[in-house]
Amino acid sequence: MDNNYCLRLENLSFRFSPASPHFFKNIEIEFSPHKLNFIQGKNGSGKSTLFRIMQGQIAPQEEISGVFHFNDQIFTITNNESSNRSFGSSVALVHQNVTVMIADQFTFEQNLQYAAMPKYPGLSALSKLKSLPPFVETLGLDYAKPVDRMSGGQKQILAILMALQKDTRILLLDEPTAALDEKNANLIMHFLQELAKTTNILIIIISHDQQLMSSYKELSAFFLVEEDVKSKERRVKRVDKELF
Amino acid sequence: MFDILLIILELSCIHVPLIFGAYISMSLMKVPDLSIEAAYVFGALVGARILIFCSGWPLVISFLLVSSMSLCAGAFVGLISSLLTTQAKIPPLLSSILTIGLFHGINQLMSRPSGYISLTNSSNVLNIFPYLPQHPELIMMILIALCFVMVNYLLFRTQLGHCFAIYGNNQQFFSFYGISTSYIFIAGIMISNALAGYAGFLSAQSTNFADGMMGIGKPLLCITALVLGKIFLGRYKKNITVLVAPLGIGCYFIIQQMLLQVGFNLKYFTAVQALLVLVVLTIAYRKKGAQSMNQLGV
Repeated sequence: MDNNYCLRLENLSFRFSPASPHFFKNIEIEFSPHKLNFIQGKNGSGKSTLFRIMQGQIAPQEEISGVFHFNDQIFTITNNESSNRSFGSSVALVHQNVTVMIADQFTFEQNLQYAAMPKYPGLSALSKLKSLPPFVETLGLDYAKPVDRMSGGQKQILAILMALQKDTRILLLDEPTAALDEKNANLIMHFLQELAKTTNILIIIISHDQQLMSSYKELSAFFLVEEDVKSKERRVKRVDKELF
Repeated sequence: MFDILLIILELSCIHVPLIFGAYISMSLMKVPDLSIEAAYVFGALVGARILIFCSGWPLVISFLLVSSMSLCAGAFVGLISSLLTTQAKIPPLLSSILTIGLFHGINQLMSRPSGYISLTNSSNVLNIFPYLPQHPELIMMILIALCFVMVNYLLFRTQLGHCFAIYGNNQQFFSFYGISTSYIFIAGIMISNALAGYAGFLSAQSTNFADGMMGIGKPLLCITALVLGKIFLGRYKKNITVLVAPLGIGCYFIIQQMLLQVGFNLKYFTAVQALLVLVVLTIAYRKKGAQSMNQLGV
């Protein structure tokens, strides 16, 4: 296991247009590997904007600067699309509504194969299934089962595994348990914890479920995105101790 | 009776590429692509013009040239229609209607001055095997149809073939995995229309003429054949759904010829098709809900 897989965001500044005030100004965050990194904050506090920045999705009128350190590499983030893309290519986002991310009339295995297809699929056969993390075997998933007959938790696991099919190093999850019952929410959290423990994939989760997060606090890091009342700028701080 | 069987076989073989085209766009991708009508006519007219141009050439060369040009002509229609959707952001139904309108004018120009192209004085490029004792043209058509079944069987097993079915299931899917949705759409509609164009050429060669109106009613014919094919194969496994197109069109022409034999006036046959599709879809919807309309095929 390599501890270099932490992600450090340095001097990150962002605004929606050159004329607008800074949304983020010189913020510093360090996300830890082999842990679940939870991000919390009120609606509109900037959690999704932070995810968008990490994916390299910057609109032409937006202004951004900063340095990302990841896996012994330094990415200078500017409005230059190519530099953002090179970092964003290792980042995958799993949406809250995973049904849009899966082809539910096909099997679990087929969906995994589809997610690994190139930008321009050709006349070659589907690629063989990439090896999955060993603990996935213990979940007892039926790979030949059509996805529309699977539970919400199993679909969520599939969406996460699909997001990992393309050399993903950083996994962003937007409220992965919001639409699930307690049993399925725990299934997902257990799955993510195992994924964080056994792989070098950095996991960052937006969540509002305090109770669920507290159940996994031993192996987690907690961040709060909040608005500064005076400057209206957003700040991100680590809140492990304050929270519980 | 044997003659009727031959007619059914010939008509089915002519239309197999067209139904495969419709299967890709309408059934797998679930796109209401009416531009196959324009592609059918354009493929026929381009094929007819090339046939006349190739008069006196060796049949094999003429056949290969006409085949590739009619496929390209159909694909060109598909390209225009799909670009209207992907680049001009016009909904697929409207873009296919606009494409029909656009190519109606082009087809009229191509069939000047008489309004049709006669092939009676051109050699029949489907007679590549003249040493066959009987029905050399029909045997060639059967070979072509079998070739299309095999090609489509293989296509549906490729990444691209799977993408057509995924497109019909969830269009948003591709954007999450860095796969180009526009490319999938353009490729699907181009292949679909290329097949329709080829069917147009087969029809022109079989009837010895091509005109600008020969595509009327083809979308409904395709839908009827696909519905019939799905009824017959509905209960079987997905891996033989490549037979939906040939079986569907076979059933279509069996029904048509049976009605003709009992004295039914075929000018009302379009109404029968529409009623058949309506009844089948209504029953399917009542039985299983909207999901029953979905056809995967791969």
